[in-house]
Amino acid sequence: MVLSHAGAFRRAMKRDLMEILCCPVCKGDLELQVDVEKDEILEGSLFCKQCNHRYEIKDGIPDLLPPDFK
Amino acid sequence: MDRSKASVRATYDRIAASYAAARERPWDEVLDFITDLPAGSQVLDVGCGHGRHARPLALTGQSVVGIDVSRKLLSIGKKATSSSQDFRSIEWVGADATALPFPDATFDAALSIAVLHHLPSRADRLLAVTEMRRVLRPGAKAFLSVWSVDDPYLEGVLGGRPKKPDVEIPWRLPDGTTVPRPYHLFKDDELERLIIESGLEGESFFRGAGNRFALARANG
Repeated sequence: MVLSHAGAFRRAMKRDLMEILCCPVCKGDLELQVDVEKDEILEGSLFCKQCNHRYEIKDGIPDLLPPDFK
Repeated sequence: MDRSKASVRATYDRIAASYAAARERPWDEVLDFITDLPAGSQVLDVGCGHGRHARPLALTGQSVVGIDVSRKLLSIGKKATSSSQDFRSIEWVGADATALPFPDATFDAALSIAVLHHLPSRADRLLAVTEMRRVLRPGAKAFLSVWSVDDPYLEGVLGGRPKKPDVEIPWRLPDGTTVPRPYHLFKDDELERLIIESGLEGESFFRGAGNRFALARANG
């Protein structure tokens, strides 16, 4: 895994963060969709196939609160 | 008052600007923890808010992922640090402490400062600590703090000693209106028990400035 190397983690973190994020519910992989990228991913989404839920990325901040957050 | 995670998010979104302005300085206890971490660690800050501890972590050479339920606090933190290369290693993520969006064994260290006491039930508080343990690599350190029920400061705010552990502490907005913040005040060995039940190994427990602290380690 790329992230086991701290150096690589720091160099390309903006993309690598997306690599370490997983679904907060099933902990499964997320499929990244990039809509706007400038140095970092500004707009897009992370989709969990298993839960069939799409997590939004807005202003460079992914929102990974579970769908049933209350 | 509605005691839920969503209400905590709504509260911190509402007070975010004045909270961030008034809570700039990192805690000495946290700086002591940070100082002991090897440079280049990947550190998770659970309930990072606007980054009062993420910033000193980044400045000491750590890669930081800060999570919080308050989108407003995250935005304030990100905006305040985006122009500086010193803070490039901070990532800001909207997430729930009880459902962390990271695989097992991802981080070299984790902290959760003044966060557990905002979770509405004991089950939530235990889940949050268990989630911290899950995402830590074997041998990784965790540092946690909660507000202690016997903090003398509370008597002034509540008009006497707290009669129950679940209280509301007002936050005053610049226009003078107050916003209640829900807290569960910790007593006796409550924090120690959460640590033990989570599977973390408690290394030391101590008090300071009305708070209770736990230093713990994830086992392999």
